[in-house]
Amino acid sequence: MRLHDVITGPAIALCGAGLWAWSFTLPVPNNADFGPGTFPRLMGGGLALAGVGVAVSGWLRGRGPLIQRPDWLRSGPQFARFAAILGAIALYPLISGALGFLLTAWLLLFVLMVVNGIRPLPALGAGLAISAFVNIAFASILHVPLPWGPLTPISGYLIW
Amino acid sequence: MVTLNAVLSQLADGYLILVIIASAAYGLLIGAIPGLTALLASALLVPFIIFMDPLPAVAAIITASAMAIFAGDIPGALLRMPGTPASAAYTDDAHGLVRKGEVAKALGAGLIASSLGGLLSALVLTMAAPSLARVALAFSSVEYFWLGVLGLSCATFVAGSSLWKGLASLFLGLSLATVGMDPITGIPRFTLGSINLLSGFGLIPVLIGLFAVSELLRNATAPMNMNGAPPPAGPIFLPSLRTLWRHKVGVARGGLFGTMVGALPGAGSDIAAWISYAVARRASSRGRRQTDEGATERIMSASAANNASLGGAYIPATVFGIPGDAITAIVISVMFIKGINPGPTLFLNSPDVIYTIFAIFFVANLVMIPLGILCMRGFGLILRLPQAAISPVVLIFCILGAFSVENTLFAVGMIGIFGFLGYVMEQNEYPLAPAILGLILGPMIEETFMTTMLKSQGDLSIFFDRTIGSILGVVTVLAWLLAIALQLRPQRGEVAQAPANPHSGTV
Repeated sequence: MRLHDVITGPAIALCGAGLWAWSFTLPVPNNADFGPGTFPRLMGGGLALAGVGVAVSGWLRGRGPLIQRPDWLRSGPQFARFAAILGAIALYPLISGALGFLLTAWLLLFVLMVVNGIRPLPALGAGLAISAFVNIAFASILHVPLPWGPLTPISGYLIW
Repeated sequence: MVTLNAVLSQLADGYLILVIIASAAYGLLIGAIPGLTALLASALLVPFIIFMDPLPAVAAIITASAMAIFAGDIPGALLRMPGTPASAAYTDDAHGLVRKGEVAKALGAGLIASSLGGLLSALVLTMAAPSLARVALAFSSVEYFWLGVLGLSCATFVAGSSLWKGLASLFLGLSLATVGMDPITGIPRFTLGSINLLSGFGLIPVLIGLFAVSELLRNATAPMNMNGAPPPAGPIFLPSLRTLWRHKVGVARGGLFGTMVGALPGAGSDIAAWISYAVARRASSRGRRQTDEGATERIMSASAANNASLGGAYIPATVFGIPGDAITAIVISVMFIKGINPGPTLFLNSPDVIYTIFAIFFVANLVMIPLGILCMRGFGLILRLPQAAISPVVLIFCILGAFSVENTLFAVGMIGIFGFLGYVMEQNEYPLAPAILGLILGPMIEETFMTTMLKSQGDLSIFFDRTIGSILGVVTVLAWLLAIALQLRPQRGEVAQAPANPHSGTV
């Protein structure tokens, strides 16, 4: 989504002003002129100034719509692909503890491949093969503490 | 003092050679797939190399990134789809040559030029870095402060067409860097009570989010067609050598430009390639011609530059611990995790390690020639990879990469947030490189700034008291004045237009 500079500029300036104001709440050590808030205050000020600069230069340039909706928002498959990526990342922390890495990765790979246009049966097979390979490589051999989920009781036999 | 024998004996490790060959093959594969960049190749290596010894870990990134930069030329020339942004400058020239059946000139000459550009930058790195490191030993917090500010300034000025947007991106990165414990007092700041944020935003998850996930999001909205069979390659090596001799000056010029541009923080291989291409087109009598000879000159000059920029980026990274681009930022993170502290003392404490890292550059750029030829011949096989299956697998590795470095699910969530942020920033032409360098250099700049201010009890003149510090300060101020002057001047010509893309500073 493309937003005009007169929208993004003030949004950035607000963030900068917020950081600037927030930095005053940080404590200053006794007898010191500077504290943990000094640098964030300068950065917040810089961010606010840059936001104002973006807004003013966008205002002076003037051309273009305020909000430009990209074409892919109207295309079902492209929107689904975009949403599936963000959805998969959001879902992983929520379900991987209960399902374990193997099942979670299998599920995510299956959904992402189907959304990308692969037929369900090959997607199911490829998803299982890839997630099993990754699980063996990372959890069993490289000892990354990936969650085992329902396999936890026998995970000791699966870590080499 | 390190002897050549000591370096060679480190290099002669079978495991290290295996890692170099495997990461070379991996880099060639990733680079040859349009949409997957050298930076993505480096970020996806993290979950693997985190378990390796320091040398193989750094060797894997050096080799994979060099190969991916070259391999981006292959789909660019054969299908007119540059594999990485660094190859975009000369895609039309290379594809034009391929259509005339001149594969050896389009790709073979580019391969030899890439290899020589990389070797030249490795030579400059090996010669210049130790002398610079000796100078850097005398640096105080003032000099490091100015170096950090100079690096951020360069990253901002070369990053895109709008100085204000570059500055907004820079301050966003610097602001994000203030999250976590204050480096001087240890007081938590802006953590919202979360222990996950006490040490700030993890660099690797942020990098994976901003660059890899945002790239997946962008690819998801742009359907990728890799149909069409590549033309037969024919003989490559010997014709390319003959071509090289005619274009030796262009290759040398590209290599030097690339090394210099690469050494500037924030200026990645795409900018090096565009600048070298534009210079070849304007300043070289051969490069000006609208003939096959002219196209070959431009291709070789730009190919040499984009690979040379990789070596150049390691100069500030190894000497000062300041990354030249996002790939070296990953390398620096990995070095810290592995107990190698990049900076001038590295040349004193572990000279064998640093010289072996330099030697790996030579090896990687030599290995590039045979493996690159193999990749050109096997490109038909890469085309047969099911595109619809690649992005889900890349996403799983992004999740694994974030998790295996931080060991928290919080890091996985971060790649989603920063991926979306990176996507929105790119869509609105906010360059990513200043933000990421701000996030990386922010803590160092804050620490040196606060230390210096506490030493001087608030007297700002201390920043210009020491000779080297004041020189660096004046150079930084001049860079700012130059940037403002260039911004006020009406932009004309292709050099001004070419690098103005949101990927600037990435590879």
